Order: sequence, then C-alpha cells, then structure tokens
Amino acid sequence: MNFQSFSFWGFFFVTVALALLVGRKSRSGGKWVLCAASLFFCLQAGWQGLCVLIVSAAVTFFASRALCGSKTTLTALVVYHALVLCGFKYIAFLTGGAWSAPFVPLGLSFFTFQQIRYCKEIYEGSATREENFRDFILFSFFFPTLSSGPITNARGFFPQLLENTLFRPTAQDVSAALYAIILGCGKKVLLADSFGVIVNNGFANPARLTAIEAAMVILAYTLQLYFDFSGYCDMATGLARLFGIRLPVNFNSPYRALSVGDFWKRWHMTLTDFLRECVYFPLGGSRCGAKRAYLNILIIYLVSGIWHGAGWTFIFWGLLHGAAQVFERFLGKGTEKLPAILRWALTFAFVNCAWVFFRAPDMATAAAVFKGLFSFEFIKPMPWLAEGLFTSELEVIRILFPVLAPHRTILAVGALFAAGIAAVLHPRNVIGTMDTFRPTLWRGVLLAAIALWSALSFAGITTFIYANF
Amino acid sequence: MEKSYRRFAVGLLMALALLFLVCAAIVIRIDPFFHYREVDPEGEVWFEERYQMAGLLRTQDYETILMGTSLAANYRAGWVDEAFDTSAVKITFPNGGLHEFDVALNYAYTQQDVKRLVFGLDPNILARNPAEAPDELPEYLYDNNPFNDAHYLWSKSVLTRSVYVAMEKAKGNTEPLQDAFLWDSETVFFSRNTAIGSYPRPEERGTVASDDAFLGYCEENLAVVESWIAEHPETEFHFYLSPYSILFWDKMDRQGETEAMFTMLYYAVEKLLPYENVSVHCFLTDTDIITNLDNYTDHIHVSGEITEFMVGAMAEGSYLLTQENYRAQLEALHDYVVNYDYESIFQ
Repeated sequence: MNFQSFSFWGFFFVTVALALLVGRKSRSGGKWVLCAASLFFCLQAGWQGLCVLIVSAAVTFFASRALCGSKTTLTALVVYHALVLCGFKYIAFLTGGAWSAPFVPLGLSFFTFQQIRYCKEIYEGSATREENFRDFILFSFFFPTLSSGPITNARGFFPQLLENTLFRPTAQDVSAALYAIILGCGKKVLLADSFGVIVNNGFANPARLTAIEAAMVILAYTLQLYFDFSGYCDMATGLARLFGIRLPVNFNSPYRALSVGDFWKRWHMTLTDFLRECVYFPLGGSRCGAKRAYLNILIIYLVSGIWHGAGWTFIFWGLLHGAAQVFERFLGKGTEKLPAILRWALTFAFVNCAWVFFRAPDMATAAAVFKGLFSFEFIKPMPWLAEGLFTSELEVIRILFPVLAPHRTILAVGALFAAGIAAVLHPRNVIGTMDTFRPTLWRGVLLAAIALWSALSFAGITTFIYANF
Repeated sequence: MEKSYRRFAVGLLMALALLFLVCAAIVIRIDPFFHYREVDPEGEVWFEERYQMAGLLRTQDYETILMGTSLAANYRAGWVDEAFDTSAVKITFPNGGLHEFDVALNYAYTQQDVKRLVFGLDPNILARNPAEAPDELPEYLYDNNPFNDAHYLWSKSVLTRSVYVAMEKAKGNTEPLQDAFLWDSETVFFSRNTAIGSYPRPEERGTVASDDAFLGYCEENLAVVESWIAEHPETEFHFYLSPYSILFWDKMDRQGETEAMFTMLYYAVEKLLPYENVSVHCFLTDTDIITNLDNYTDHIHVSGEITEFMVGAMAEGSYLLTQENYRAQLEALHDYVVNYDYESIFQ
C-alpha cells in the first residue's frame, strides 16, 4: 500500500480516527489500534513477509531479556538479523542467481537495522528494554516508518508512548502534520515522479545521450532521489505527528553540503547514525590511528552500498563515497580554506556523478551515461527525453493556451528543473519549518492546491525508490 | 494561537473536501467513460477505447460481443445486429493483449447474458510473447467495485478528458455509437498507394526462423481463448482470421517466418476446431481480397466494405474451416504465398 494511493489514505483516515477516538479514552486501547493497523499495513505486502518479520521481532524481544551486557547474546542477535536479511535480499546476488528468495518482507532492510540498533541500545544500557510485547511490535512495525524509515531508536520512540501527547495532537500538531504531509506528497508525486520520467527515458537509452542530455538525466536523478526519499520522510513525519509521535529528522538540505562528509550528516541521517553507532564505533572508529580510521570508513560505506542494493553498482557507489571521505580526512582542515561556492560545487558534482552508479542497472549503462556526458556534443536536447512528462498538464495547456502549445515541453522541463533546484538549495526544509509554520490564508490556499494536484496525480504509476529496501 | 491553528487545520480539510467533491461532481456530470450514465447512441465523443469500452459493456444491452484489436474496429455493431439477428456491442483495444480481452469478457459476463462472441483471432497477437503484450486496461472500470472508482473520480487525466468532452460536445463534434472508432473516415484512406506507403518493408534477414518459433507463445495465448470456451459452453464462439494483405506475407517472407507462421496457424486451428461451440472463419485464404491492395490502408487493416462483407459471411457460415477442409485451405494459401512474386507489388 503506497502512501500515494487512495487505498492508503482510506486506511489512514480510518486508523487515525479510531486511534484518536480510542486513544483519548484509553492509551492502551489506542496503542492496540495503532499496532493492529501497522500489522494490517504490513500484511498488504504479503502474509509470508509479515510472518517473517513477526518472528524476527519476537526473537529480538525475547532474547533481549538476556541482552544487557551480554556480548554473546548481542552477537547472536546481530548474526540472526543479518542472516535473515542476506537470506531474503542477497541470496540471489551471492549465488549468481542460482537461488533466490520467493518473496522479500516489506521494509526488511530498515527493519533489520532498527532491530540491530535496538539490541545495541539495550546491550549498552543506553535504553531500557521494552517489557510490553505490544509496544515492541508497535515500535517494530509502526506503519509510517516501516517501508522506508527513518530508522527509529528505542530511546527516541518508547518514551513517547508514555507521554500525555500520545493520541492527543494539538491543533498546531495537526496543522504541522498537514503541512508536512501535503508538501511531502507534492515532492514525491509532482517532483520526484516527474524527474523520474526524464531519468527513465535517459537510462533506457543511454547510448543516445548527448552531453546536455546526459547532464539533464544525471541532475534529474539527483533531484528525483532527493524528492522521493525526503518527500516520503516528510509524509511519515506528518503522519506520525497526527498520533502525537515525533520521528527523528532524516534530511537536512543535503544538497547544500560543502563536503561529502557534510553530505552524509544531512542525507539519510538515521542511516548515518546507525552506521556510526553500530559499525564504525565497534570497529574502533578513529581511535586506532589514521589508517585504521580510513579502513573503517571504507567498511561502513561498503556496508551502506550493500544495504542499498544487491548489486555491484551499489557496492561501487558506496565505496566511492567512502573513498571521497577518506580523501577529505586525508586533506584535513585545509579544504575549509577553499571558497564555499567551490566546495559546494565539487561536492554537488561528486554526489551527482556517484548517483549514476546508484541508478544504473549495471556498470555498462553507467559508463554509457558518462560517455554521453563527456562526448562534448553540446546540441539541443531532443524531445524524446521528456516523453511522458506532464501529459495531462500539457494537454490542458494545448487546449486552453494554444499559443503556448509549440513550446509547452520546453516550458515544462524548464519549470520542473527550476522548481527542483530552488527547492533543494532553499535553506529551510519542510521538517525544519514544521514547528515554526504559521498558518495563513495564502499558505492554506497553496497547500490545498498542492494536495489536490498531487491526489489527482495518484492514478499514474508511482513507487517510492527507497521502498525497495 | 491555538485557535488560529485549529481554524487553519479545519479550514484546510474542509477546503480539500469541497475541492474533491467538485472534481468528482464534474467527472460524474460529464462522465467521459460512461461509468454512471447511458451512452447517447446519436452522439458521443469517442477518443479512448480502453476506457470507454468499459462503459459500453456496462450500459448497453447486448447478447453478442464483437471483440478484437484495431482489426475489429472497422466494423459497425449494427451489421452484426442485422446479420446475426441479435443485439451487439463492439469492443476493441488497439494492439490489445489477451489478458485485456479476458478482463473485458469476464466483465461482460457479469453485466449481460452473453450468447455469442465474435473475436478477431489475429495471427499477430497469437504469435506475440504474452509478456510483451500491452496490459494498459484501467481495470477499475471493468468491475463492480465502487471503492476503486476513486481512480476515476479523482484523476487529472479524467478531468482533462472531461473538459475535452464538454468542449467537443459544445462544438457539436460528436459521432454516433455505430461510427465509434471506425477506420473509414475522412482521414483514413484505403488504397493501393496508401497501403504500400504505410508499409515499412523490412530488409531481407537471410535466415529462416525455426518452424516452432511462434508455437510456445501461441500455446500460452490460446490458453486464454480456450479458457473462455471451457468456462462458457453455452456461448457461441466465432473466431475469425482477418484477411491480412499480401504485404503481410511479403513481410513474413523477408523475415524468414512464413513456415513458422503456418505452423502456428495449423496449431491454432487444430486446437479450436474440436470444440462444438466454436466456428473458425478464415478470411486469410481469400486471395482476391488479400491481393487487392485498394482494400487496405496498411499491410493488415482492411476497409469497411470488406469487414461488412465478412460479418455477413460469418453469419451465413461461409469461410468456415472444418476438420475436413482446413488442411486443404491452409495448404492452398501456403502454396500461394510461397510462390508469389512480391516484387511485382512494388513495380
């Protein structure tokens, strides 16, 4: 059940109405409603996957009784969850396609990292073990975060289940939630999916790309991925806020980063946090000398690459980011003397180029895209690249404004890139402005327009890229 | 401040509810795909077969369905009414896949008592890889589930088409039901020059495809057709092989696929003939039709004059393949196309 579908919104309205109605009278009752709704949400992706996740959650829950201070139990749980993840997600890659899993549980990658993070928190004593199985299931399966994060942690989530604000959102919470949900939906449906049209056309025909077309495709994917993922996170944050739950921030204007290290402090922040806490520090972090620190960095980004996808392109992408950060560390603070605009440009260019490997189905396709980019064929982009973009909107322009009709494609592409670039470079992002959001008539009109346009676009095919993890 | 947030949230939700109601009201009022209203047989705006055919199946009274790809589009349902003494509806999907026809037919059986199906069994769709067949049917229109009507009521594509339909009706640009999706019009011409001009003659491949090249796909595609026959023994099935022009056989010859095509045709006919409620009408073998390129607008689409003739022939029981004659018919066609002087077409 995608967030951008009528069935999800039907499910959500029923859930929030029931949860708030019941939850205001009985917090326990509200939690049961939310827990049941979350399991129902997971069930839509297949009962087999749900069973696997419930078993894994049960293993974590019951084994965590012996977790505090027990490295053996921690290791066993980590190995268990890693094996489950490998078995479902990586077996085909590891066996060259000889074996493959008949299904992959919804959000398995996020679920696995969340469970491992929980285990580490209990082991270290930085969070108290949750005694209530229902609350643990709610934590593990909370439907706004199940399929694409953010990766929640115990000390951030469980205390909120005891707060008076649970199931008692204020009017400000509701307004902020609507703000985040609508803008997140707009980012996903109107921006990410539109860039996706150009990306899909480009990657389907990489050999045809000229320099400008290749640059457009690369930039389009950079923007698509950001709006897709951050849009999802905005929506998840808004949805959770309606229950009185606050989720961790996952994006902080990552394309404003001045270094690759800075990028990872702004992009998928809960993943970076996990990798630091659960991989980098246990490996020794920076404590064992520079060379060991460099190796540890490469390892965590190798893990990140593998986590994102079972393929050599993902591994290469991860190692590229690892190598870039090793290089930055090697250069030290000297890079801060460079003009900020230059640092930004180099970082943005690197991130853009690295994303090519993230998107390409294989290295040959990635190479073809770069070949186009460096072909130095600076000719006008051809219409095929935008085929399928804004078909309904362009039809309206053709009918209502025939004088604009011959230029409608170039206008649409130009407007799309302008909006996308402006949005990513804007210093204030949705999550950052949720709590300072002031309700005005014009903001209401704008949000209503975005919500309507987004909902009317549901009928197309839209899938969250990060929902594949 | 809390009050202003409350006013904002309530106001926004109410505004959205109102906007959604307005959108739904526009779509229901204009109803471009006839989901909620009867078709006006004297004049509608026809533009999207996959979307509008659902409405025809839903709102028309019929006991016969004429169904097929674009090759079945150049028929009038009225010809079928007259020839078979029945009430017919024409259902066509350009380049349609068998899964799409399956969905449409299943839906039809929930709406009416279907006594007869006249289906264009195109060799092209039999030979096609099912995985590559289009699957673009808006299935939410082909069911009785009111909840998925949300895809219809709140869709910018449908809204755009609603506005388009309203504007066209205001200008009087409508066509009667009988003329819906006909190829015979002021913009489609049937002539030798048009047919040859529209035919992208392929290069000679120089290799010959194996005889069973199409058999695997044919078997999968035919399984869908056979499921209809098995599930509805009370229905009369008339399958017809449309008269692909001699240009089609030129294409087969140059691509080295003539033998593979005939192997497939034999297979399909042998599979279907044993069924008691099935008639297979083969117009492929009419060499007078297929060599007269004035009947065609491209290498396969034939004029209304011929399709009207075909309807009458099917009702009379002509061009029927039987267990006794199918081999002779197909062999005669085989000999004809294998020995034909294709270069003479282009001189």
